[in-house]
Amino acid sequence: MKVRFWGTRGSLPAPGAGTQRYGGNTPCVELRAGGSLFVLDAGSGIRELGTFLMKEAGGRPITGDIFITHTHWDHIQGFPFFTPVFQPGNRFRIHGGRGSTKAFDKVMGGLMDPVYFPVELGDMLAKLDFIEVGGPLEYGEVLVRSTFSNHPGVNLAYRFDQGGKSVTYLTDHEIYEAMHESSPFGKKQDRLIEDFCRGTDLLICDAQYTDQDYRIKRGWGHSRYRDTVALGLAAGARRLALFHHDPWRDDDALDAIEKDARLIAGGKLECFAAREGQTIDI
Amino acid sequence: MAKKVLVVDDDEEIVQFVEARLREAGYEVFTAYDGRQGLDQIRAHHPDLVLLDLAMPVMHGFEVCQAVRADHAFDDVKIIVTSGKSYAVDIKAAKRLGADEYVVKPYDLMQLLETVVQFLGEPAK
Repeated sequence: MKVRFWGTRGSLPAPGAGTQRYGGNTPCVELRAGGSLFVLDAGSGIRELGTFLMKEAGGRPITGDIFITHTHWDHIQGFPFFTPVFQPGNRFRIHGGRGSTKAFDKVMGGLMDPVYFPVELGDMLAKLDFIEVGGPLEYGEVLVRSTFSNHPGVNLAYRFDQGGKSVTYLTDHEIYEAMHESSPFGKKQDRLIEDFCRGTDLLICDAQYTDQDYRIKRGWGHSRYRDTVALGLAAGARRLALFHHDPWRDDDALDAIEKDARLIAGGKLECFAAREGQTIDI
Repeated sequence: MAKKVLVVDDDEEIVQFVEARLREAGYEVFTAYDGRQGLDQIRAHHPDLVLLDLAMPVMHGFEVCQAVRADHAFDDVKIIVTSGKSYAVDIKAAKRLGADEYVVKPYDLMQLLETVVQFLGEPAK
């Protein structure tokens, strides 16, 4: 399995001199596993992934599976700029959660309503299949599972297992116990999430907030990085990618978060702040 | 005749606790452990009230709510959403889809029973 980060920023693209090392694009992660291409979220980072895939394919058809955690802007805004979907002969299955107030394909299509965008979903010439995730899926050697995370609206986390290795993508998640003030209910919900992440080789996880942020932003659907490290430790993850960086956080501030996260982990968990362009072999 | 309550939740422990308390109070209780089962039970038993979780496998609670409200045969069925999600947007969405009430977990069983009584009246003993 191989992972490459194309967008690590949360909420809003944050380009500029202060975000050059960690990147300013919103979430998009490329995962190669079992000979297949998986794309996790379609934030603004997916634009450059599209360019990369087109070059790599050299005119040959591209097929892949795009997994959308949820349809908040920062996770889908790059989709209309993903060049491979305009190329006939390419084929993508686009997976998303059930239970929104509209069908998943209608929600994605709404992003390209003529009021907001000049090109409509029907103008995309690749073969696109929209799939509402209802249970575990098998793609060749890769088993994909999902669970609901704690974020406003319907939000999914995904886990990809192949040949004894795994990657878990849990972005836009607020640790229940932090939100519910140490209640047994919160603990129980957190245990279910821990079980979902259990023993994963790479946990890519929401770590948007500091303690100071959380005093104001509790209940906004994101986690403090120290809670994310605690989750990684409790789940026995092998590596933890701190993800969904706050758009107001510059590179130096992310360096400090990474350093502090490593101190909290105490050498029991390798953790790092995910950087745009970073690749990881599992 | 006892009023009928359907409890839909993928957390078996919660279903068991709530089922026991409601039976003790005098309601006829049915149970389901995912959204699809819940919808099937609603169609089979036409309960007076449904306690409906949101984040469930197979079919999300919002979908159940939508399906029930799309069928006028079930206009009289009261729906109380019970969810660990306490975000305002989820509460608004549930009400927009036709939920009569939204109770955030963890809830106190006695308070939940009081809410049920508010909608159905005191159960016949």
